[in-house]
Amino acid sequence: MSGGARRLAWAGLLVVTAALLVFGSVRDSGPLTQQDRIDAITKRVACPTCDGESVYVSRAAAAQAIRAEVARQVGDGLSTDDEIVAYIADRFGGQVLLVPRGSGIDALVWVLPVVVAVALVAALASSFRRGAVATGARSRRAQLVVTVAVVVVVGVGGGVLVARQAGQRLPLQTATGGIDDSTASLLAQARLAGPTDVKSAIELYARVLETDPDNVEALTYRAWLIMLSARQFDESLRQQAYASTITALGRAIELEPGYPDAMCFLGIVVYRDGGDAKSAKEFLDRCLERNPPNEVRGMVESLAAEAAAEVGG
Amino acid sequence: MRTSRVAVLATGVVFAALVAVFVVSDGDTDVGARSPLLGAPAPAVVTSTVDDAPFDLARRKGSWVVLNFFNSTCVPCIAEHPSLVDFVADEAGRADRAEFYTVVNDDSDEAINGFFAAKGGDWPKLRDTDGAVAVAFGVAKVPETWIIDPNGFVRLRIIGAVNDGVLEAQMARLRAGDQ
Amino acid sequence: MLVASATAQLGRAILLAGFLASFFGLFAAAIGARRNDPATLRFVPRFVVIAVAMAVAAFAVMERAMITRDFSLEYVQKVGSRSTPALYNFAAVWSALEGSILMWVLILAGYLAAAAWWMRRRLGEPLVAWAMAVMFAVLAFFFLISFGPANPFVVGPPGVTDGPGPNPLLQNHVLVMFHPPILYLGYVGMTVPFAFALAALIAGKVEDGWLHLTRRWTVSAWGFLTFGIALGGWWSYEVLGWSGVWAWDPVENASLLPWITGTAYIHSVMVQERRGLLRVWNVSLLIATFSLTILGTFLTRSGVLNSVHAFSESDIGPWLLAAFAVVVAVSLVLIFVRGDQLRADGRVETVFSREGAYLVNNVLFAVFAFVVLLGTVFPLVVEAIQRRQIVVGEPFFDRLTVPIGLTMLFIMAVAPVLPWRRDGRDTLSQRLLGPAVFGAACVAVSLVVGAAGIAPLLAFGLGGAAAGSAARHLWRAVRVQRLRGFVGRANGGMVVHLGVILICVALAASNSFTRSQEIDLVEGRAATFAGHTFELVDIVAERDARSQSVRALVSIDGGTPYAPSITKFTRIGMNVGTPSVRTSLTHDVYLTLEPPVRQDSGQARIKVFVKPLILWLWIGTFVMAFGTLLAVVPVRRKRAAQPSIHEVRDEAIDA
Repeated sequence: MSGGARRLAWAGLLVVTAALLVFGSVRDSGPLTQQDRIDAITKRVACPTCDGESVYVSRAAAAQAIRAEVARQVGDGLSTDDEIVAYIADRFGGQVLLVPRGSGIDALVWVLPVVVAVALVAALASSFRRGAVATGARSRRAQLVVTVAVVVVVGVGGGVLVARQAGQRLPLQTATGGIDDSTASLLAQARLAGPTDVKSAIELYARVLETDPDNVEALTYRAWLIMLSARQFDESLRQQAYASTITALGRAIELEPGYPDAMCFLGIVVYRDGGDAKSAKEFLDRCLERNPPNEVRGMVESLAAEAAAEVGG
Repeated sequence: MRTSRVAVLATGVVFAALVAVFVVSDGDTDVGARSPLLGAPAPAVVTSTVDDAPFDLARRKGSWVVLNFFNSTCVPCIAEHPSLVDFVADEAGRADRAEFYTVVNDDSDEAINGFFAAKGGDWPKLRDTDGAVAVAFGVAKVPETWIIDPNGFVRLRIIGAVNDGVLEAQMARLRAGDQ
Repeated sequence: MLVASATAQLGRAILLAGFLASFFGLFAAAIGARRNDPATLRFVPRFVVIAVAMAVAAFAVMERAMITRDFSLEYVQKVGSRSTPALYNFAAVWSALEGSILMWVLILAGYLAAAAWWMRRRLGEPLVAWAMAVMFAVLAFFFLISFGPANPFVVGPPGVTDGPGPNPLLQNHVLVMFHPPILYLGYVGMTVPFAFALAALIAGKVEDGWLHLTRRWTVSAWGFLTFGIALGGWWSYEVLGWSGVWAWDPVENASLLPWITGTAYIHSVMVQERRGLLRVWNVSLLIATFSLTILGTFLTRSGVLNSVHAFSESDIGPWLLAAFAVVVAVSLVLIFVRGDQLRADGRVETVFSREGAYLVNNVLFAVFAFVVLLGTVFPLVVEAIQRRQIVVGEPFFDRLTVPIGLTMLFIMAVAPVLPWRRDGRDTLSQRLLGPAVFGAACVAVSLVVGAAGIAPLLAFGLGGAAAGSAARHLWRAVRVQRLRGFVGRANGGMVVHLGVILICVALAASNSFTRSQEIDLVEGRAATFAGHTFELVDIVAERDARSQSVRALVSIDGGTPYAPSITKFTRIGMNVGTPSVRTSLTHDVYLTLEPPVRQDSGQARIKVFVKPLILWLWIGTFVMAFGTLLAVVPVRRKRAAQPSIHEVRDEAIDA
């Protein structure tokens, strides 16, 4: 094959191959199934008992539990991949993130290989150059400085690019740990405010009920706190509060019959504010059947005895 | 200096640093009782007991709750069991007794019932069929013991078997701190 | 009791004797070499015999104790069991730390004996004597740690009549018999060329005769290491149940690191043989290979990094770290001092020649080794600096090694057609056209079959071009020499390249195009996935002395059932899933059974993986092994010991 024909052949070959590659790289390889998503997520998370194996690889019990959780969340379809990874990292700690971070000292693991590769290639290139051209000492030193500068710029720059592109984007601590608007967080804050700052607590429970009107804990405790604070007011307000409290507690019991707190507060309110010992005793007995938590039980037990005495006596 | 000698020296420095890193490493894989959940509201736990009674952790607010992640074949779990029985007996006498629950980790109902029938302990045992509760708490290996306060916040995490008296001491400390 | 403790005493005595023999052998060889005293050197073969005899005896005593279930030894209590089948019981000796060190001693002693026998008429030469000294030193070290911190003959608590047996994962598949010994034959075998390299530096005999001496040793050890690593991947595939072959586990990386530098060496050494160049590179690569075997052992045995292989922590860490430090320090000092003597007069003129390609290859493999080493030890570095634990896993290694692998394929395509010494750009464009067309055709074919994604397509294209280059070389050799054209280093090397290409292509395909799905199967109803139908035929439970297992019989496309299972090893309380695989040339259908399984429910949850081209991984492995054999076969035409100073035509076949 003559030189010209060969050049043509090579040019044609390169064009064809480039076209094939471009076609192949943008080609859609089919939709991502749920299992593909699960696999992609579990490959990013390390099994917490295996020191380095990903959850995808490991057959340990902890890994299986995490796989099941990921499958559940992927099936729900509510969270993105990053959110699911963050969920797991929130519980098991940042050290289960298998992809090293793209910033901070962790990024060194991405940057150093690029720097070393560039440095070695530069050393190779300069050794070939040095041989080809005879140079004096000064220009050799200049060459050295230039080479080192190129290595630093290209190596570090390239390394940082790789780190940014490939590294973990989630921050070290993804746990919000505090003030957010989720129902659980609002309920927790309301409970903390509880006995000392009744007004804020009532407001927080009201906010929960705005988004989740059937939340039994908010219904019950808002009603209870309203009744508590209403006791210091005059008769008419107290009666209003009593009525609304009974309604709210009744609704809570309807929504979740097994919820002890609602039944217990109902009994207490009926006895203390309604004066109806008979009904109160019934409610309080049912309350105790439902195994209330200790704080509520403590309020109820003595009261139940009193009510029983009143009914009996 | 010749390039190859520079290279040798550079290699020597890097290698010395590497050895230093290894000397400093203690191979210690114990994570301690850290958790991102400490001081945060406890995750939701909605499941059933092995007796098919419903359980919802959120509904236990108002009591101290102790969750013990357990498996009937794990050696440290078996070893710590008497300490747990003692703890529960100790708490039973208090008005504000802590509610104690076992979370079954990767075990069958029959094995659990058999174990507790033989070794005692009549508190509720919660099912965790595909490990959702374990994942929610970040529990990878049993045994682990978690203490949750009456407001629903996670207060303490103990990894590994608890020794005699440890839980009683920790409860006393937490209760005192809660005044 | 008296008999039992006698075993322990006997074993320890044998180990001590072996250590002493190696220790005195070291001195005999070193002093004899330094003083050039044949009388002293005559002791060397005697010490070799004693050391080897002791190594064999110690291993035999250990095996005997294991086979007779002698539970007085703590090691047998740890890994022995009455209910383990004989085959796995024999292999149980090397299933934990102390026994595997004992196997290292045995294999190292074997290599020492082989080297001494092969050099038996030249033991008087300083180079050989120093090499013997270095080997004695290494053997003495391993005898010492086997006698001391990793003692397999510790007497255990009395009254034990049975043990838990080895880890259930090691009782599942017969590969456990072969993978560790073959891997060790490779790993430990690197000691011999290292010993000669160090001897060359010590004795000041830095011309290239020693290279030629050790070439077959290095290639054979490399071959064993390659095969052992591949067997590990095969075991992982067949046993572990996640359907993968390589997880970038620290132990896997520890075995890969010496392979990387070893591969660089066996290529780069050709430049030294032909033109006496790259000597510093080659000596450094050999020393790096051996040092990495020690470092790798340290990383996996000391407990600083745990892994699937999970040998428990022991006191052996500091010893291995010290050994690593000593080896590297001594080597660095020697290179520093003798480095100038190593430098040759010529130089590599241009990067577009064969020498240039090998030099680029060295750089590429150095970067590869750096990436793997950095990823493996980086968690330790971060922990040392910031007291914080991180993990570096598959995503990191995959991301960085894919470009390295593609570059490797590119060099494999280009280098065999480059001429020695000359700038080969013109010849390239002429000779590479055919292979390049073949590579483009491969890309086209893979697109037709449905491939997508730039990285796998590049892998297929470059792989095709590299295969074309290798085939072109072999065809020209066969045309001149007929069947002899397959034999010898260069030709065998091309066959090995073909094997590597098969493996790279298979890895690219299976990593990029595996599909999986969890399927709930109900008896009587078929499910479909990826063009196959799956039907649950039956669920079978079995029980024997050491385990209970549940198997799901699944019929694929109506054929004979495949049976993935879950086995509970009752003594240890460990559940092990065993996959079942239907293999074919185009793809594997890989089934696992997912817990929980209830035997009488008529339902089972399976996970199906469809993995393209997996069989070609194993075919490629055997092609590599076969090629290595071809490469070490001696050829009738003897090469001159001196490197040729005449320009050699490309068509002349290297022997």
